[in-house]
Amino acid sequence: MQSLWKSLLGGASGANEDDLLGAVPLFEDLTSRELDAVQRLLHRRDYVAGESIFIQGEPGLGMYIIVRGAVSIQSEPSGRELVELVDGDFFGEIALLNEVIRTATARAKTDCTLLSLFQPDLLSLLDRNPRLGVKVLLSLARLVGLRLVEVSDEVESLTRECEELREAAGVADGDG
Amino acid sequence: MAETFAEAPPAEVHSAPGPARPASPVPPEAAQGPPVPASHLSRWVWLLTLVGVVALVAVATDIAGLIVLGAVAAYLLVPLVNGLERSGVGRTQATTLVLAVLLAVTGLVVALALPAVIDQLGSLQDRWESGELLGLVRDMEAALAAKLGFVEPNDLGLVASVREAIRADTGPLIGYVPDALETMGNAFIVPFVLFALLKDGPTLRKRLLSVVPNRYFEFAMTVFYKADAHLGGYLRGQALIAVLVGASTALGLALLGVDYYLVLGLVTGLANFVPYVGFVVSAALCVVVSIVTTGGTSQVAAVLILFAVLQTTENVVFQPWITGKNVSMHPVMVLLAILVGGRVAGVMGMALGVPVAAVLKVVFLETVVGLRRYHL
Repeated sequence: MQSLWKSLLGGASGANEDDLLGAVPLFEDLTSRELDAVQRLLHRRDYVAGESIFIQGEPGLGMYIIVRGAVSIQSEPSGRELVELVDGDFFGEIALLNEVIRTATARAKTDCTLLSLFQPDLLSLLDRNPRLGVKVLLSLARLVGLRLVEVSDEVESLTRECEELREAAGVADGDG
Repeated sequence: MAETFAEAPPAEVHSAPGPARPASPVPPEAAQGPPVPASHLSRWVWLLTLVGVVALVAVATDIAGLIVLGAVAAYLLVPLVNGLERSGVGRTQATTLVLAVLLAVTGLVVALALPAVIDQLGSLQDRWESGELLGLVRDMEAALAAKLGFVEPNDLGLVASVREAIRADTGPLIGYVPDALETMGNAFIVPFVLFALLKDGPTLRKRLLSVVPNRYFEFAMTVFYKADAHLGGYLRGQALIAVLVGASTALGLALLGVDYYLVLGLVTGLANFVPYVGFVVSAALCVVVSIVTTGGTSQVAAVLILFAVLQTTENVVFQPWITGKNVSMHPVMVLLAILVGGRVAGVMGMALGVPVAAVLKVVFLETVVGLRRYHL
């Protein structure tokens, strides 16, 4: 019942969340005052182990930051784990920029506490405090760019691998 | 990170993930089910909130109405507060400033316009009590009866019905002024609600959403924001239109030389919150007033033309600009919403019936889409 009142009346949010927020790459350029403003936009959600956070194929509306716990990013329908994310990691950021279908399932591996940032809140931040909104957007763009570079590298190495395999197969064919 | 790892498959392929779920690497003790304590808790919170709202509406309808009034005002003023915040003012200061200016402007308008309005209302009341208006109606009935031949004077019951109508209407209308003052005196609740909603609206919204179970969270978020945006857009648009229509009606009537143009403009502006019906009623009222005050039909054509022009302007210029951004509803649904709203909560219900119906439509559509697209 106590937690009910806390959730209704807005009990104090943990100070460690603030520290953690500053440690998230997305928000590392923000001053503590700006972090407070961002903190007010974030929704805090608790998940138990095994609970799905979102499911592949659903429309997505925002990103999640892991405060505590481990999250498994899985590919449906096989349920194959693509990556495991832990404290301070974030995922689902593309949905923050564009309402898209979730391209993988996110499931809590342990009991988790997540902070979520949603598109409508980001848009309202851009409306009310453009300076801060742009700051967040800029680092978001940087991170998405970095990931794009990573993926391009990966695609390149995979292509190279494919070619090597094809060549090897071609040689084998020629032999046969 | 998730987004970059797998390519997007068509949603339909995975529309039935239920059976596939046990295959995922989940600790067995956790696979038992959803987080029981959390969802129980939020269910209780929802239930308590619902009971609270129902109890408030049942026990203190007038106070619930004032809270709704405060919420509507908050919707109208939120862009101003956001604008001030954008230019670097803190949210609390911005809210205080907007509220102070609003109170000052309201005070000024009341101080300047109220004497004129009360004057016009008083003169209407005097003429009514002197029997002048009733006499005019009696003359008209006699004239009609003479022309039609087959009806006896008084058969039409025009005088009686007008007396009934005016008793029903002007009674509360004239009694409205002290009532309103009393309400305003008692109803510190409106500015209080307004201030709280303007300042803490975003926080409050977040807190409301915090009790939604995880499974429905993103879906609830989508519905909530769409409904919120529609409601805000509708109310702000209607308020703007009401002001424009009210002012141009008052101006037009003044130019036409119709008496009580201030009262009529005010009534037309307010009535305009009720689509279709409001305009017809206020046009009829203006025609009746012009007939009664001039004792003839000399102004009727001009008044009707004025209303036709205003209605056309509203439909061609204002409404597309506003409703283009909102849920379009079939006129039959609009009328139904007005009638049901009127039955539930009187005039305020009639004005709010349409936005409430629009919100219900958004919720319904999103739920239908949600059932299909989310794995609820």
